[in-house]
Amino acid sequence: MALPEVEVLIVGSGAGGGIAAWVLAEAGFRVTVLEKGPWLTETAFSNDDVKFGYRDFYTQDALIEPRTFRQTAQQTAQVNHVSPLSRCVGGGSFHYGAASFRFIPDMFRMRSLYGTPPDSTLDDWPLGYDDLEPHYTAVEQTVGIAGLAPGFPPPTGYPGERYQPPPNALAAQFGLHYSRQYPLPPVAQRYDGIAFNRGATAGGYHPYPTPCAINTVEGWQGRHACVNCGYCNGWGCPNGAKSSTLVTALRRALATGRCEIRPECCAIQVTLDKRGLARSVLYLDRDLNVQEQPARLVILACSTIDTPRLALLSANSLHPNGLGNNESGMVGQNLTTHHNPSAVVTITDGVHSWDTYRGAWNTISFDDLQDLSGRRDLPGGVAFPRGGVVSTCGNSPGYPDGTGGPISLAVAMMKPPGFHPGGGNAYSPGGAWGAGFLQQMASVAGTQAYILGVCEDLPRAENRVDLDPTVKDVYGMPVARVTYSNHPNDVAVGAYVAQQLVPVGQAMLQAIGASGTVGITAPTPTPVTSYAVAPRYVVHQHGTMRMGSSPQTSVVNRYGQFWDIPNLFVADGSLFTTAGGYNPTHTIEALAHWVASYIAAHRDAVLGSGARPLVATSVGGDAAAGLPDTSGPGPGASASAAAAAALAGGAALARRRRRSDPS
Amino acid sequence: MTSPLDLRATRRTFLALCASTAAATMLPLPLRMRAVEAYAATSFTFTPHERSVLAAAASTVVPAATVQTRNGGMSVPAAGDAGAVDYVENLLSGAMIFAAGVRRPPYAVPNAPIFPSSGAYPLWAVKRIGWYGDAPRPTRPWPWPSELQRLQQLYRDGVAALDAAASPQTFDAAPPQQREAILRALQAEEAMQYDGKGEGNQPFFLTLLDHVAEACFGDPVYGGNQSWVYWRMIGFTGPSFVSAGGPGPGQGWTADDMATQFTMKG
Repeated sequence: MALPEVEVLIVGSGAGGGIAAWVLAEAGFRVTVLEKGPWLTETAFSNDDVKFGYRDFYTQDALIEPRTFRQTAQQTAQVNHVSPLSRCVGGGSFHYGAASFRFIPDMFRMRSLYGTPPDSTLDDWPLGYDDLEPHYTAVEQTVGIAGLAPGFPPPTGYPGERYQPPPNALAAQFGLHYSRQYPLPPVAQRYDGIAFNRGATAGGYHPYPTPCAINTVEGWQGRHACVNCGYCNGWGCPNGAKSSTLVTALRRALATGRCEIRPECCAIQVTLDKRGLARSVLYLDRDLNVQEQPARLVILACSTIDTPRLALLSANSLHPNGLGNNESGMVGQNLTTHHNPSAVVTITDGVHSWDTYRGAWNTISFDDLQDLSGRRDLPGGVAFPRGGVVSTCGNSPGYPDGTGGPISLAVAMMKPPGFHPGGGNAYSPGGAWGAGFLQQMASVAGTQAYILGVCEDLPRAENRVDLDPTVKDVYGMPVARVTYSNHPNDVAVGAYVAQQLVPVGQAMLQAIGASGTVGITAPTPTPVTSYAVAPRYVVHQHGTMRMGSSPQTSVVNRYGQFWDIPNLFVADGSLFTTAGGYNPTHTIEALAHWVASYIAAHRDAVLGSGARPLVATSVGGDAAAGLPDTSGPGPGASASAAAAAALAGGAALARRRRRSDPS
Repeated sequence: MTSPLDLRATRRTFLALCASTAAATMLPLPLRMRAVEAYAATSFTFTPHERSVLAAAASTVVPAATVQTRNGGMSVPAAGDAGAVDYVENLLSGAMIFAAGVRRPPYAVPNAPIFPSSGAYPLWAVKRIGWYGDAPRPTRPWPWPSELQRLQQLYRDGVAALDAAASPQTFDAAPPQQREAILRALQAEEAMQYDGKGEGNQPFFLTLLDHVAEACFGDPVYGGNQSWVYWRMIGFTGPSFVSAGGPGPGQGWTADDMATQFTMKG
């Protein structure tokens, strides 16, 4: 039996869903948020590598809710950790490194600038920087982003240039204008960030403080300031300084009294009514019972992998290939993940150390390698000469190289090549355990700094999310199958950018008077082990519910609204038309703000009785009359029935056990 | 020996508490359910022989050494002598409690009580290892195969295989060179069989390598890395700030701290 109808139902509580919940609740809507993960609070977060790096404390468990991965459509996908985002209230904004860049205006019009290179689906966004600017600003001021915008007096509390580089000197050249200064001064620089500042400046680059969604002023909004504990990217913030939606937007939404969050509720299907409008969402509650939650408007914000999966699981007689897939057939396509040319700067003099586990994760960046056109030394055949932002990054749990913390360094040394998540063992082909291991750990730990490029990968139709034909999760639902391989353009640009990082690393060593080595990595066309192939550590993911300007070439319109289901929206990273050369979260939040603001301004059109499909469905005729009720069994419905049946057995078993428990 | 770091001792105390009917009936119902659950989870222990074999294997992987650090020379124990087996046993028992709600400046007091005071997360609440199909949970059926039981069996079989390879002795009685040869051969064999693909089916020795690394370089609260010995060796301060109520004095790092290279004091 269905639950009482709610006004707005948001699936997902992360950067997209959390922001949408805040905007709509403050606009007077009654909002319900479904989140498949638990509602963790700060007392559960600690500076702990075991819990966060190795026990799947917050990520999707590949044994319970697997995903499968393959590089090409010819391969059989294997179960793997694929781009595992946080699975808890706050979503990806819970674990992320908080780097909060605005996209530069060029990133919204890549097809206009470069055409569509062969084997790519490069396109323009249906909106531009000027459209999003107010929404970037609103998010910055509300959740609290710390940075230094050019053209304004620095934020109150700015510690001065002794501690911080100047604002982004290239912003004007990019047309990156701001309407307000950030509300908070930048996060403190780590030791390696200070060296990066000196080294990159000496090399002619223009480093600036990375805008971070981290509170830097004690007491701001009643929150604690960052104490530079060093456990940032990959951990939940133990004192709430990180501006995740958990402690910012969702708190504000709850404060209105109009928002309800339901944790441990996993959506499995969106149902439509006879008019072809979204009617309800079926979900598994925390006791694994199937619930039906009717709503007048539904927003999908379950991330780039799970939003298309939910659309595909919701196939019905009106939408036999999944919701939104009738005209373009593009649901799940154009997955982009960024490529990450990087450099590990290792001190070998036995005296110095970087100790990158102190401080916020991403504190300093430069944009000089964003636009590579006009560079004479660029390799031939690069049709899309775009790199990305370059930052020096700190500690992250379980990372294979560079700054992964002591455990992952030990694992990387001990395990033979191919059997630890980094792929190869640089220390010994047989595994460097045994005699000499402890000396090697003592010599290497703390000596590695990490320069990371976040570069724009070309979207391709073949890179996609669909339903795996054989693998199911524990609920009995087909899992997401991710197919991804880099465009040759990505590989060429990645190699070029990585090469540019070598002198930057050498200058960092010079800046502190240390000697050492700089090793680089770049995307390869054919990774050697399955551990290495899946996008496991950098979990940027975008593009699978592409927004566009026509139903033939996109899944949703410029407001994230399904072309043929007017009360169904998307508000997460899957909207991205192209990847952009920056960490995506701030743009996800700005887009969610844009989508929610549209909904709030067009309440009657999208929510009222006047809601009608904007374009004729492929079934034709009057959308409101004579169409079959699509809530009947489709693939998703049968899967949920199977899950219900399977789980009923388990529940009965558990009840029996509980009765027989000694107590 | 009982130290505040010894979770096994804590667990046994807890078991004794649970066994006391009077204590159990005084608990409110949800806590009682949790106690029952913890009892089911904590009933796993290695036999003394298994402990001995695993300690020998861990100490072969990470043998004792005199190490030159950035802060001078230091004598460092083998993994088996610094709690590695305790770590694995805590892990496989499902009773390992995560270090949440802990509040301590690094190294302030040797062997400071670091057992969580609030907000601790028992292992069953955590994924990957925390689900075991046969144990009841208070609010939610958990009808999935037990990763915990798979790992327990993996270790039991692994110990037997090590003993068989050292026959006619047992593995822990074999000389160090022979132990290393056995483990190298096992690693080569596993690397041939296991393609590195998928999740949840890594063979014994490759799993042991992961767990020894976690034991030695993870937080001592889990039973390994006793007295922070391996963290001190690499000059790693560990958690500088942990949870529960916001930053306290001496927690975290200031901009001035970070503007210079870190040197271990004391």
